[in-house]
Amino acid sequence: LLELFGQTYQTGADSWELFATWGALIAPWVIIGCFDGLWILWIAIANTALVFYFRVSPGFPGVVFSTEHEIWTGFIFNTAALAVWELLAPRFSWMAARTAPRLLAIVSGSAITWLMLQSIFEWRGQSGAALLVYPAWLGCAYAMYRVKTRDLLILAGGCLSVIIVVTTFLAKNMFNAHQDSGAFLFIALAVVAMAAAAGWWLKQVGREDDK
Amino acid sequence: MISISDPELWATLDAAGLTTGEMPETEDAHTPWFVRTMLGIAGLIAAAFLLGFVAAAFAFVVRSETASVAVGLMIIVAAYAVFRVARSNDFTTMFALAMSFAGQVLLIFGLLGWFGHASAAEPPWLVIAFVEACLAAVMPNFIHRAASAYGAGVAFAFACSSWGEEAIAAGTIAAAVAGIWLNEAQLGRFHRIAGPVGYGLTLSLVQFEAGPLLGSSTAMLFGSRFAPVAAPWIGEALLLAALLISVWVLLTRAGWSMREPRVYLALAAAAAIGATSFKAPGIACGFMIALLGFSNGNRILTGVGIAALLFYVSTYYYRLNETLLFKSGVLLATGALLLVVRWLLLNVILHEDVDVSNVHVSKAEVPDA
Repeated sequence: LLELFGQTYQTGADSWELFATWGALIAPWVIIGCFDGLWILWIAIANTALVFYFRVSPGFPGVVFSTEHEIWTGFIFNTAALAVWELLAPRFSWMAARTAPRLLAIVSGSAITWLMLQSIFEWRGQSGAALLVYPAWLGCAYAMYRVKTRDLLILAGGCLSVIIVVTTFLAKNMFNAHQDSGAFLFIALAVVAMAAAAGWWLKQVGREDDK
Repeated sequence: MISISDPELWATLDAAGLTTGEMPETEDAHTPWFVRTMLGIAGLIAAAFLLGFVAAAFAFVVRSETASVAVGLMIIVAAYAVFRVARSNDFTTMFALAMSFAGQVLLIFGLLGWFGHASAAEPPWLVIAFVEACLAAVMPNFIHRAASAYGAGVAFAFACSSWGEEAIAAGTIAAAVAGIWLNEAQLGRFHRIAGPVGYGLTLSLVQFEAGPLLGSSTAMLFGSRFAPVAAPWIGEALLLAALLISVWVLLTRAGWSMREPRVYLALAAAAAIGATSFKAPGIACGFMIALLGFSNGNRILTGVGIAALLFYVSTYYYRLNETLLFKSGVLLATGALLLVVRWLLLNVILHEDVDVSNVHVSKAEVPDA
């Protein structure tokens, strides 16, 4: 029935209404369900509605080449959802499972990493706000998932994000100045060093959990 | 409760013939899958820059196929030596991984160039699959083994596609995946190879099955010179056979006798679910992987199977060239069918094993119609 409702236009335009209505209709069921799987479904529907709201045909290329405004919206929505989840999790036992916050952290981290890469490349006149928000996001993630609690998966995602951002920064600046083989070798060794250090650190943190 | 140290446990397993060689580094054994994934991605990034270095500093290497093959092989051998010599050093292990990835790209580039010049020859995917399979067996690193097994599976699929025999690839890889995960305990002495190879082949199978749904078979991707010899349904039939054999083995292990009607009911249910693959490719594949993961208590494999299943079903549904009314009807019928299957499972198939009245099912767990 929702599919029929969503068929407002034969072209498929405004299909975000389908997902927005779907999300609104199942919201009461999700709230009284007290089941993290239902919330994951609801957040996925809300994200789909957001993506469709900004463009008719999302697809992978559409998402990757979204405008800064679109990615910021996705980042804010998912980061806010993550913060609410982590705040409420100690109060409700059904929120203890880590799947939902991890998925939210992956989406939030991917969005801010992509915004940071766009800032480095000065893609389509970026505002540069990511230069401030990205370190803040990393700091909050470290405080939350290393100091306050332990979540190795989110820390590993953060490490990968840092490796990608630093590599992109090095590539942009070194290849602008010297187009030589030394830059390639230096960056390759830098990536190896960063990954090795991250792997070693994550193993140390993991070992703390085992004790 | 009896406590036993890791070396004692290893010695006991060794005495039982379930392991061989020296005890592996516990650190390596306990590295979570997401840390390995992170290191694997970083290894690929580093390999790309190493390749850039080789191309910029030694341009003659990439200009000559022979030099590419030779240098690629030398780099792979050097990476193997580094893996062997400095196994516990994080930096050298990462460097060896990046070196090997770069060496493999050079080798494959050279091989493709070599065979591309021979007029009657097909692309050397079978040779590449063989090289990758050897690397999966030999390289003493989990990430490398998984990546090489994945490469071997994909190259084998390309080889079959280039002969117009895609169906063979689906059946062979599915049989290998089922064989490894069903015999995981029996392969205990080869656990350092079997585990990563199992994951690599599983990922290659998931990718292979996604091809038709995404509108690009492997044959189309790499320009097969032959029209498909075998009909596409043969590949799905072979996958279905692998699924049914897996179900049968698991039922036998659970102690279900072949005389019991519920065995045939379970096999019929699996066949009915798997048969949908003839219309919606991938369902038998995803179902088999999830089932094998669940039976082995392997949450990663179960997750891969469920994620693949969701991807196949949603992609097929999205691409279904029918009216929305018809699609709504399909969803309604699917929901009703799942409820019937659930009722059959709880009241008929598992009735003798589980006292259903004692099973508490919360509202949240009840599927919605």
